Amino acid sequence: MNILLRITSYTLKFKLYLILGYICTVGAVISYLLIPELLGGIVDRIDPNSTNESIYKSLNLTFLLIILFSLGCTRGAFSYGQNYYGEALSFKVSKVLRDQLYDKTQKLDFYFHDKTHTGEMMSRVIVDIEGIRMFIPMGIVRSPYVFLMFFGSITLLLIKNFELAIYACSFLVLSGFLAARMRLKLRQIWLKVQEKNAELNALLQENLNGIKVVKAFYAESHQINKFSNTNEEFKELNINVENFRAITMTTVLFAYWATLALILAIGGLKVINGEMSIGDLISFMFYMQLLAMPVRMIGWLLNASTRGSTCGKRIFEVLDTKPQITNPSNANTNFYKMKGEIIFKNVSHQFPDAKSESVKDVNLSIKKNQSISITGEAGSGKSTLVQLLLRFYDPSNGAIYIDGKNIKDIDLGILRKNIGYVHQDVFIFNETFKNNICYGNPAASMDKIIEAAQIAQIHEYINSLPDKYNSLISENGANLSGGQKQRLSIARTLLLDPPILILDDSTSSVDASTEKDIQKAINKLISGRTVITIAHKLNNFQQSSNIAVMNKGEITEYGSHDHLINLNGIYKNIYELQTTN
Amino acid sequence: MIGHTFGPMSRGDSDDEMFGKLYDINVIKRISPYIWRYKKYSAIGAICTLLSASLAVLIPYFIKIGIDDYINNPNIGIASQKSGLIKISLIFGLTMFAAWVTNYIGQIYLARVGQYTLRDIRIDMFSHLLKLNLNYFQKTKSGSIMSRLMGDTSQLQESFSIVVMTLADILTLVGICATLLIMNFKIGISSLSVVPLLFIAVVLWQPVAKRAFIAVRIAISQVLSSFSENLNGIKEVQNFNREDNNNKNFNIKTKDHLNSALKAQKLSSALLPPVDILTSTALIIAAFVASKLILNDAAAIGVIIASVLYIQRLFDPIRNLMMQYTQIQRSMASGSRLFEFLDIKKSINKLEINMPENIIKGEVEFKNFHFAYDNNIEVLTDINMNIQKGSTVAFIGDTGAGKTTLASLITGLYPPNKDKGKLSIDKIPIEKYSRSDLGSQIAMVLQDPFLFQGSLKDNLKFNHQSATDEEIINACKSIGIHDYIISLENGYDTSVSERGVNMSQGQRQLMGFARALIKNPKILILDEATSNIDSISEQKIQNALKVLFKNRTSIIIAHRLSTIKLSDNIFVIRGGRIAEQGNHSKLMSLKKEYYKFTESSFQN
Repeated sequence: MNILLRITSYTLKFKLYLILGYICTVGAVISYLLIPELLGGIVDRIDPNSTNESIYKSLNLTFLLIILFSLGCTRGAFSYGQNYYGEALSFKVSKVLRDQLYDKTQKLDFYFHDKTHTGEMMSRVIVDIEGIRMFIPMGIVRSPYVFLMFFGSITLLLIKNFELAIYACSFLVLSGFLAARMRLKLRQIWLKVQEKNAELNALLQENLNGIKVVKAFYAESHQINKFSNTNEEFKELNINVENFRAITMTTVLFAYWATLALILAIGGLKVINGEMSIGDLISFMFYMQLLAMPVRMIGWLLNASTRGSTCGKRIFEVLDTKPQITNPSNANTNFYKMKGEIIFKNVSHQFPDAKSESVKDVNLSIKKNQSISITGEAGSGKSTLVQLLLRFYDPSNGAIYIDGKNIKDIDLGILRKNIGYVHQDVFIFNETFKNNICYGNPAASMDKIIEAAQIAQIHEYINSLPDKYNSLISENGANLSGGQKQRLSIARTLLLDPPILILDDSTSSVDASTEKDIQKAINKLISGRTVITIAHKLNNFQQSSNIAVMNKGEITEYGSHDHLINLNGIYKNIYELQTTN
Repeated sequence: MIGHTFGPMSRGDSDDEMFGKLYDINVIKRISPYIWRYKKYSAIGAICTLLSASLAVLIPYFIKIGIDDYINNPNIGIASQKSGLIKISLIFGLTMFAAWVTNYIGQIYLARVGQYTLRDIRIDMFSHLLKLNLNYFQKTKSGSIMSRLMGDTSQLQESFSIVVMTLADILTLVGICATLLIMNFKIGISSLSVVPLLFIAVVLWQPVAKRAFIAVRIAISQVLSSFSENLNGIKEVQNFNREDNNNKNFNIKTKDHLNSALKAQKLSSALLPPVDILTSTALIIAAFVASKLILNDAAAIGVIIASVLYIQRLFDPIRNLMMQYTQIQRSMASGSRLFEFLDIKKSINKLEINMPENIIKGEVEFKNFHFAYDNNIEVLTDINMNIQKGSTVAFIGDTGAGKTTLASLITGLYPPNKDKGKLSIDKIPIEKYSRSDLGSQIAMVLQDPFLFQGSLKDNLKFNHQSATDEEIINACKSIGIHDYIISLENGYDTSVSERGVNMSQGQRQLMGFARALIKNPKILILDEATSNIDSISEQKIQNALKVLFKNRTSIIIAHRLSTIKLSDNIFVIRGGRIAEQGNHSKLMSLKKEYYKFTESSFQN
């Protein structure tokens, strides 16, 4: 209920549409309720045997028909308004929700993104927002319509004939009971359906991403089995929903039908006994007909509201996620360039679900324009350490200072703008080369962009394309080689001109000659900056004054190349391994 | 009904301007075989639904009989009036009971057919997807594949219940028309005369609406693709502080979508007033005709009442049809795109040819071999190569030289071109092997080992389900990842998050090696698999690789000297040709390509 209220609060942002929707709803209901009364009158009017003393008797038939027609037109106009404003409102709200969700996912930290599957998230964007959207015209705009119609018809029935109306109500009680039961049950099943659906989508997405591995291992049938199991569960849940819906809906409908038969019998007897006029019975029947619509709609309404609240739950869950990495509230937000002196002080970090710390009590100080390297075994915490500097994560202990200021007190935007991060799995956007290069600095001039591309050794390639810098790159650079992507990301970073630069294993996945090209580009990139290089190949360390060796989250060796060789530890080991040719 | 007006959610390519017809014969043709599988359920469901709809149509007719024959028929005497009324009411009630039962049975059976069919379609889609040629994945955006499979099947799902309802509605419509005409032809025919007007209105409306709905589809597709791209590139987004900028761009896209949706909505709401106006017109005509007839005693009051009741309901099915109209169109479009996808050829099929053979030894031979992908540009030229069983060979060369293509051919990922030389395993042409035979004996470790959802153990076993815990642990020990795994809280049962973020690239690659070792294949291919391994781990796995290479044919694609040096024979590939071949010392002494390569890759 809370969730539905919250969805409702979104519609309040568009009060005009909401009000117009309601006005049209009331109009539609009134004209709709007047029609049976008029029809009963018309039948009375044209029935020569009718003994009723109604006012319709004295009225001109043509006049009555004109009123009927104008009521039809009025109802038409109002139902247009009701339908349009309701749906329009829903589209407006879904736009707001999409925008908010987008904004939120962009700003959420990596504690969130590490755990979130793209497929699962997209299922929220697509399916859940749609579920909320559908709830709005149904549940918010039309539900008063349904209730008005419902209670309006019942009131009129009670006025027409109290006793018959009481009989008619017997079925309403049954319907109401069933509907309430359905809502509770459906909600639970819906939630499961949505979750299963998301699971199915996540499976699909990961198979798309890992398609090469699936093929290389001939694991198609294995993966199909896995998918098939989830698919089967999804089907079962859906059948569950359908069964439940079928029994409730058909029963409600039957209750209505049976009541009609009951009214015919009891009302008919009354007419025969002379306790009631036939005209009254007829308009009573017409009013019963009116009830058919809200009865049918109650089912839809329940469905839309259960769906709305389950979908809403999944959307608000994301919107309510509090990022653990927050922007300091009182920080200076005017961009300034840092000098680039970095101090790690007793820095430790442990991932939420990890057993041990991935970074352990690291102390490291890097002077302005100094270039240091970090090496170490896979999983020794190198990448985590530099990502702490970027505040992708916050240290669980200790602090990091840049130019003597705790990075937690620096505006996130300014901090990250001052740090260039070239890493292994660069992401290339489905845009032009130009837009990819100026990604961090959209205002950059074309000259600057070309200059950056030239330094990054990618200019010649771009220039060889028919549309040059305006050539479109396909999704995640599918048409580019690993080296080209890497050079593109270097150009991107160059344009940012950051005082601090992190090169995280940026050349390891390319072949030797490409690596040479990239190294050339990097050499141009690093001058005049504070640089942290993470690498395995020691020949990437030429520029570094100091080298840190990490082991199980700790810096175990630190110093110049010669110093480390003399230590006779891990570093020397690697060095020997790489130089024995 | 579940989401009876599901909005424009499916996402297509922006160039995908196709928008479905209300009735697309091809889609119907393709779906029919699926439904045919459940013909018993479908038959029961359809018969019951139709039966129930026909019974429900009788309601006003019962009322008419009750009024005309008994309530308003004092000639037969009060006693028979009463007993007759009670009898007809009972029949009425019992008929409705029958309608209830048939309605329920019909609904659950048809729902079942729908769900079974959708399940089958989803499975077909998924297995088709996995069996597609790798080329497809390079050409097509993963986002658009996702939207196809996800969006389009859920569109179909939405429409299944609607189709059932629509069928019942059409039947109701026919039943109402028939009863109206039978009860009183003059009242019936004159009031039904408004129906064609409605059809004219729809015909005029449709082309206009169609354009509006296409615009909505294109707009939402832009919105969704930009959303998913941002999720994938989140590191860049945050690192480059693009949040505000991206928000602006995204807001423009959602605004576009909103505007087109509002435009389309105006059009679809525009159909409602004609329905209401025509309903009252029909009522007026009926009342007018009836008033004339009744004076001549040509119609009884009950007929008039029943006619009015029928006319009011006449437009309910039409109104429902209209509300569903856009959804049905959308589903047709989705259906046709789905089947279009299922029609993409999976050329890999050609490999599944009679005579299955088992790879026993693992000897690989290329003879005068040429190869081109779909675009007919030759990527391999005149390859002659004989890889002895149990030997270790290395392919080296620049990116794009053709190394990976060579390896992919051996694994059967691409079928060889016809009449362009021979590729054989154990002297038998590769075309003769079934995919599962190749699969059981060949493993390939790629640069990105990709870890799937599930536990580490699941990932290590992968499709080699018969592996025992002991085998897994032994493999992990010899690869050198065991210590790391047991250091995790849940050990081998630790689950992997999608991008394996908490594991470094190197660790993930070690997982890839262990995965291959557990499979224990006759032929092992390492495609740039060692490039992400750091030097320290590299040292660890040198010995593991030796274990891995033992007793099997191993093909290494690498640019790391320490790995290459493990091989008996080295092929230097350049521009799709073999430029040099021989062992390390032989190639070093040649002082050509290989020599240059080693020089460039190592000078410390």
